Amino acid sequence: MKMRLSAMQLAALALCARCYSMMTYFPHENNNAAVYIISVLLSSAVQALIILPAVVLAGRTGQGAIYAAGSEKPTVSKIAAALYLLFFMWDIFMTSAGFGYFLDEYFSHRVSGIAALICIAAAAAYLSGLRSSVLGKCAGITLAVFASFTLLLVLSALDRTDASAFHFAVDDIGGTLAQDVKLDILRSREVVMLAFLLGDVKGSHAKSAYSYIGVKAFIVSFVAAFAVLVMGDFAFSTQTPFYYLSCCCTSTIIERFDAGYMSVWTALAVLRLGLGLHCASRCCAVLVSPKEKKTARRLIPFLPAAAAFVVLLFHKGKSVVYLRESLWVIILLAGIIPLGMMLFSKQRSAENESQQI
Amino acid sequence: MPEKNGTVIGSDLHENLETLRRICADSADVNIMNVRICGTDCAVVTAEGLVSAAALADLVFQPLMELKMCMDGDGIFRFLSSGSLLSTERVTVNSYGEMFRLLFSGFCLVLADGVSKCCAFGSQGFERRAVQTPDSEQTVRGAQDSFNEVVRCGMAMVRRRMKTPKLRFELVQCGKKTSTDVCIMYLSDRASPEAVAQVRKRIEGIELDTVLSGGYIEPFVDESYGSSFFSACSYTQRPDTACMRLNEGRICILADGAPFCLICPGLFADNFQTMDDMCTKPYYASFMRWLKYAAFLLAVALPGIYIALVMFHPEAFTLKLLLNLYVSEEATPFPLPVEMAILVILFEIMREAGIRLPKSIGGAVSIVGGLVVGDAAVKSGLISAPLLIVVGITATSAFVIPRLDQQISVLRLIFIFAGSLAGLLGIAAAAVLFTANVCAMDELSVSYLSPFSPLEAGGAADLLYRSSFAGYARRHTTVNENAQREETGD
Repeated sequence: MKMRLSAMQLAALALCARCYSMMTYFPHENNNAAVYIISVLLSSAVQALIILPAVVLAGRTGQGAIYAAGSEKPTVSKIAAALYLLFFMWDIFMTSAGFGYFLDEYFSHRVSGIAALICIAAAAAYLSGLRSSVLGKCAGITLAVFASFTLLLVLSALDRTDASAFHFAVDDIGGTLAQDVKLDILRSREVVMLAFLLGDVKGSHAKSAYSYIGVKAFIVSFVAAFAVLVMGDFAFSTQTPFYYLSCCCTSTIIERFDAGYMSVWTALAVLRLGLGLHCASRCCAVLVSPKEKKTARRLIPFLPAAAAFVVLLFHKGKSVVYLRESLWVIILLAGIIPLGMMLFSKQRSAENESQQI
Repeated sequence: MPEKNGTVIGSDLHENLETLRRICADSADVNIMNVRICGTDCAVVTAEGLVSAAALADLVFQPLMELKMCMDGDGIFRFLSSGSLLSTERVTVNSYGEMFRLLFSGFCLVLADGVSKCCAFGSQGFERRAVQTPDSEQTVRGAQDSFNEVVRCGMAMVRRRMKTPKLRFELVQCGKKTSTDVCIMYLSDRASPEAVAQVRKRIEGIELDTVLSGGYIEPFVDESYGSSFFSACSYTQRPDTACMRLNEGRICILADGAPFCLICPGLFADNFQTMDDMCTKPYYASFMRWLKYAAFLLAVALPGIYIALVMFHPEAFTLKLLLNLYVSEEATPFPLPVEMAILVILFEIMREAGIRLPKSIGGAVSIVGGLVVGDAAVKSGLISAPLLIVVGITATSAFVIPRLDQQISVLRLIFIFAGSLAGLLGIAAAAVLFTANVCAMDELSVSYLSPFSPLEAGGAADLLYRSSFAGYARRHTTVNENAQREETGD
């Protein structure tokens, strides 16, 4: 008997995906850290609402959105699987392109972004073939490494903190907050992965989803706050405060921590890409019969990584990595589809009951 | 499965002896003694060197010779099988297959004319290695005995320590030619019945001609044998360690002819625990545990990280250290990865030579290695001194966890390759792959990283520090949460 994904493992998986996004860049409209932190907390509350139907669906049926329709309505399952597949392919593309582009930005003189992308895509391919519980265990360990690295940064820069950069000097605080909340939700594509994998969880689905949201809100706020404490206004005048934080932290043994940043960031990237490929492969398995077109089914999820490779080859990374999809895409996949499936499964079970009577 | 020879024994003694000679082609080690007991023709069959002459004389020959009343074959067989206590082990045999298995296991067979069965008495007296100190798992204060090659001796050593009727021994014969006795040991109130059934099924399904050690059994018991760096079954040479694992709900397997006991499922944490942990204060045992985890990381990743930092991320070093390294590395003719690979491979060669050579010469290898590599290579400028220090630390760290030496040797080279190719990016990618590989290991529904992942609060704490004995009294299992059942006697 193979082990199933536990609630905390799924939360760890989603957190790893979010930590990767956070380490890559912070999306924000203004340079005010205090407003950004409040927006992260508000965005987390909104995400908790968005994901509610997925939690209820998983709790009621014990299955994810693409399986909840059952074998009676294969078309419904296939439509849902196709929508999720498109989203995961987009996510793989953005993750691959983002990794390659920012690697060139940060560490271009050492490692080629394209070569590194091939390297991590191969590693992610191995990961994607594993069970979700294995990815969950792996995520737990990676998250522990991330936490240790962050702690190391905190300890090495504790003596240089200054809280004067925290203020609310913003022209339109309501508008800025709303914009930042929207941007943070857009940056949280892993919420869709979480909703997709909730059916795999053995244990409390709500615990998994809300642990993720709570811990994510804490981590992102903490990192943002600490970056501002150490670097002042400079932290939010750049899109990549975590990277600059690692560069300016120093200790008596290590001069700067950007090498450590690179390794933790790479590990998270491999995991995120592996998770995306894993989810996409499962969608493919629903869309294409397992017995037919086996090679095609396996290759489809890798197409976005190949597309990212081409984008990087033509140095068009910058125009791609900051692209923003519609907020409705995330609401649709993380909230509306599970809600639809929930209503559908409720209707089905009512029909079954009436037939039995 | 043992070789089948299901031909039933006949009632004519001479015919039976002829068949016996024919099947074993008059093998030189089969002794057949014809004897007349109480007026009936009988034969005693033994295998040369496998029986104890003294035990045979005292326990079988003398009582038989002292039989005075006149009896036919059936009477003698009844006396042997139910009217006497000639030996501690007595088996009634009906077929030639069973007869040969017992004969070559050191039993003495007594056949009587007119009876289509024979009586086998356990009178084993073959040469065996004495119980010695466990050279591969030495402890300072723990027990100093180890398993030897005789499976029954191993069973007795475990039984002597665990005087509970819940301890079960199941003997299974493996190997078509060797009919090796394989003993499955478990505590019935601790081990999961499904896991025991699974192990039994897998061992019974071994279709090999020969089973000469636990290594022959491992691939059949370990689900992830072909797909993982690590082994989901661990080995121990120590009966006390086997008892400790049995109490945690694991299943131990002893194979006749091998002095090691296979533990299923093996956990990653097992490699970092010794019996000395139980004989020292918790703070010291916990400190040693942390030291071993650190040693493992150093042994696997230090050379790779060193290469990655020096070649790709020199800015991470402080200025003084960077200048020292720069001066040392500038003077050497080879690129850093080549230097490192040469040293590490040379070290592996010397280590292998030290293991295989007789102990008297093994010491000389380390002297030659130390002189040539340690001194001459640095003085001649072929190898830099910091690199030698790194390899030295790595090698010494690996000695702290001898159970993982195979994995460490290969993983170290992989990390060197990854570090040389892409710096810390390569190291991180390799580390994730390695972690995923370890996480994917499940044996008998138990994760290899248990109880750390999936996290079990009580069990995981024991990985970081050695619990007090009061804690062990409350909970002492790593694999089976439901194992804490009350003992109910027989």
